[in-house]
Amino acid sequence: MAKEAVEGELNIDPMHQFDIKYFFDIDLGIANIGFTNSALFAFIAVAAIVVFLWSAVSGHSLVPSRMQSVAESIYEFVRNMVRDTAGDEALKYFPYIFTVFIFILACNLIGMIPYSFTVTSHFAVTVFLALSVFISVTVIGFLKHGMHFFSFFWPAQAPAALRPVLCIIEVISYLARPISHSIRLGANMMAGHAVLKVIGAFAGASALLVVPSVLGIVGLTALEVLVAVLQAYVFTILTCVYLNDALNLH
Amino acid sequence: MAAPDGKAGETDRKSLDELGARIDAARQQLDGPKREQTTKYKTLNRAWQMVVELVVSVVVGGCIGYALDWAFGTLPLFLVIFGGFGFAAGIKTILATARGFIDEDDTASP
Amino acid sequence: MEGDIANMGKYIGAGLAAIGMGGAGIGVGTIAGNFLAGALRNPAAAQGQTPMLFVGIALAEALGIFSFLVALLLLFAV
Repeated sequence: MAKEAVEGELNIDPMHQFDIKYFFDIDLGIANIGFTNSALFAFIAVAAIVVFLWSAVSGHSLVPSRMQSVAESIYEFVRNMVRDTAGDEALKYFPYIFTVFIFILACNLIGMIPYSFTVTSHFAVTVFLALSVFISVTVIGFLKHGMHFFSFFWPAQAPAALRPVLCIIEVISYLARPISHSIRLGANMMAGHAVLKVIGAFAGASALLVVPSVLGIVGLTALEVLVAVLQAYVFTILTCVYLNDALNLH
Repeated sequence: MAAPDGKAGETDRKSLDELGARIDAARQQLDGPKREQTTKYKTLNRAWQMVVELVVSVVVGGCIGYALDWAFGTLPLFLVIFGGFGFAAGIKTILATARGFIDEDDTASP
Repeated sequence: MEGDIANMGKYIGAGLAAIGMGGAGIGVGTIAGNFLAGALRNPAAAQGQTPMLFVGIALAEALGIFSFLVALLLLFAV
């Protein structure tokens, strides 16, 4: 439903950029698993990560080149984050956390390129990422502590009469984690891109508004790059916090 | 790459150490103003994060209550009770988040 | 004219529920304004109280979001 942009008319359609388009269909009856633009940009993000990390470490040397030092900084940054928030024991799970971080970072940053698609602006993607973190963290907790993991929900130091109520509250706040975890990433990315689109539509409305809206877009784009990096960081550090809870039970 | 033997290796090591010291010094110089800028943005993000946590907790509690009501056929009862539990859970979560901010600020400021 | 009485009620109800967001706006403004007034009188104590400012803002704003949720439920779920 592409609309004609008419001069002198406010033509705002900020959600159009999030439309999913099918390149071809593979209909299984219950769901269509055809190749979409979202999947395409997820593949592009993965390819960009592979090319970047591969080229960064292919000419490995003691004194790093520019690319290699960027890759090493990212690695060191995530590794320190995991160790500081979740302890040395969590370094076992560092590859997974690094993968999550660099995938979200690549998707967010590729989404900043005009005419591209932001994979992480869809809740289907962020809920999947958050749920995989939630399930794996819960499984890790059960594997490490067995049935003792339930003591995480049992506030032993509270008065005895209040404990069942507090236990229900703990369970609800535990179940709420993956939702707030995913909404934070998805809503931030979606809201930022929609605002950019709205400001862009002002430029088409009247010649007077062109200069202020272009300046606004420049400023907002800078802010959005910051948001893209920051949200990847926030998602990863929350993953580390949840992992810490599962490993150390408070 | 030359094999790290004898004098050549030693000078390599020395120049590397010097480089490391210079990088550390430059990093420390850069860290001050940069951190301030990101925290300014972070405070904006924090308020929104707490709102999301509180709302999501109540919604999850309400959903559990609604499911129980659906199972037992007592419509408003569990919805109200678990909505209240969800609100309490949300308050607990945002207080924990606020405590996290205090710790973070304490470690970042000195 | 199209639609029926039930739809009309839905839309009117959703609009009324959305007024609640205005209350949240008033609440957040009061909290932030009072915090600023207090912080200007005693800037040394302000730093320690910012987390409580956010707790207050989150509480006030969450109640507004609930009214927004009710509006959305009326529009799309009922």
